[in-house]
Amino acid sequence: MTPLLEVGGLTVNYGAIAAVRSVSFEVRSGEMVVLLGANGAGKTSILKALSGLIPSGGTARFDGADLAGVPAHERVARGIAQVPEGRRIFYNLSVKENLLLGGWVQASKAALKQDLDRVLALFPRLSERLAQAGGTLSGGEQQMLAVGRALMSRPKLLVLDEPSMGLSPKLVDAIFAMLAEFHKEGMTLLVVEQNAAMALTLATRAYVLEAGAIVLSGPAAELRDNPLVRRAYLGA
Amino acid sequence: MIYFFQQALNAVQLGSVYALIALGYTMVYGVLSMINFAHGDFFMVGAFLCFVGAAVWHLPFVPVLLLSMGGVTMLGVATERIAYRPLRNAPKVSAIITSLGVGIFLEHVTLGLNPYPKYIPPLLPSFSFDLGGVSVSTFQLATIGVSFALMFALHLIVNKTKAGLALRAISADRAMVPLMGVPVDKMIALTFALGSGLGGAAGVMYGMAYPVIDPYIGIIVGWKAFVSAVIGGIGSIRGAVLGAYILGTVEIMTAAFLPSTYRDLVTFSLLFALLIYQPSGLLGRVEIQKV
Ligand SMILES: Nc1ncnc2c1ncn2[C@@H]1O[C@H](COP(=O)(O)OP(=O)(O)OP(=O)(O)O)[C@@H](O)[C@H]1O
Ligand SMILES: [Mg+2]
Repeated sequence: MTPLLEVGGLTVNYGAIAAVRSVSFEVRSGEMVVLLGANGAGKTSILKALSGLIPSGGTARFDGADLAGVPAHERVARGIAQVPEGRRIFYNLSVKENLLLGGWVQASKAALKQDLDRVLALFPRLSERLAQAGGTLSGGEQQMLAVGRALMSRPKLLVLDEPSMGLSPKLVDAIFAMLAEFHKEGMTLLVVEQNAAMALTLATRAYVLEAGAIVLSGPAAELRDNPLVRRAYLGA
Repeated sequence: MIYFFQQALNAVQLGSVYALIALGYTMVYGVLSMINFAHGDFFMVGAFLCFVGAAVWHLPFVPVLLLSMGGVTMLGVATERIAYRPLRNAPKVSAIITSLGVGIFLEHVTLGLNPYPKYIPPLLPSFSFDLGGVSVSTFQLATIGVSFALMFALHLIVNKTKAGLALRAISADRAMVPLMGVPVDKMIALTFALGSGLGGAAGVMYGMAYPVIDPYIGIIVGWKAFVSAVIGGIGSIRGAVLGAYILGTVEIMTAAFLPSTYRDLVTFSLLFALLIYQPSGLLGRVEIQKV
């Protein structure tokens, strides 16, 4: 079976800075794939390129179709939803409006309503705060809203950029438990994380990124025992 | 006292014209953080289309209004597409200079076609009602009524529709809006369409009040509307309307109770004083640091 997402020779340059140098990876249907890497390794750049937010070189195929030249908003319609780094909640919109905007690509009002109910059932805290401005939510609530907002487009691939960033250990556990649950239900996930221990426990496979290039890859369980990973990311 | 109320009515009329134009400045600023200095000239083109509709084609009020609004809407959308979109990621100052250039271009195309000032014949039967001593003309009634209706329509679009939701999101964090599946370019075109359409309507309202027009009317009226938007807090829709009525009132009342040559002096002193105490305008928000 061909992978859901197939990236080949991806490059991202910011002026003279080569942030991503010929990165290739794939995500198969039902997998949870993790991208690990230190600050500045190029993780966010890869995800932005994948969503079409920044120009990039190389090839990308998603769900059997080439992504070259496909604008960012069209990629959401094709099934790629991203929870961006720093959550990026629309602070001036209410919780409900943030969610509805996430469902922009939904064709029918009925489907939108159904998804709204589904997301609110998943995050009861949000349903208590529907009319509250997004900017007034706590960090943890904003992360839930960011995930809920991404789910509203019914993605085939859910992409998350450091979902645990800035959260208390308890909330980190909760977020990962939720991602594990999504994975168990059959959702396909691509997750960027610095929290390597947690991510490698849950993921199917992982890629390790250094200075814009992939230096290691393999099943998550194998990488967990890799001495290099243990030294660099697991503090062992 | 009657004199005061008469002047208050004039203030609402002038404020309505400023408000319609100020909305165009504030909406474009809200979604693009760019000041479209050609917007005053969009308004001027609206007044000339009003002239064409009324004096050349002898159309009645409503078709003339639709002609000006439709024509300027197309002008605004085309300007964005041709002149501003290619500069979307260029330094801000490039887009601002371009908008000044577009404005001068429009003034001189209009001048080429109309070397002499034009007179707009009355668009409505001209008579006045007596309202407790205050005389209300059909022109004033039409200006205030149409302006309120258009502003209410804009309010509904921005706050109650899916497109309005996207516009508000763009004003908060444009870079993230594509991740919601929203075609941002289309939404920016919509912003120009709405703002320009209102500017076109303002051209008709202005033409009814001051029927002799030339290609340079957009400069000073445009500046005043821009000042209105800044007073209210540029980027804020309610602020633009509030600022416009404040400015209209200050101008009319200054002229009514002081020598009329003091008008612009008082207006701009007010602007300076306000900005010292409230740099982001009355309803403007302090720039939020983007993460
Ligand atoms: N807009 C930009 N302009 C110039 N350089 C940039 C830009 N964005 C990122 N970079 C550079 O590209 C490199 C990769 O950045 P990126 O944000 O992709 O890293 P990251 O792996 O996500 O890091 P972190 O873990 O800190 O989020 C860094 O050296 C960064 O300074
Ligand atoms: Mg990052």
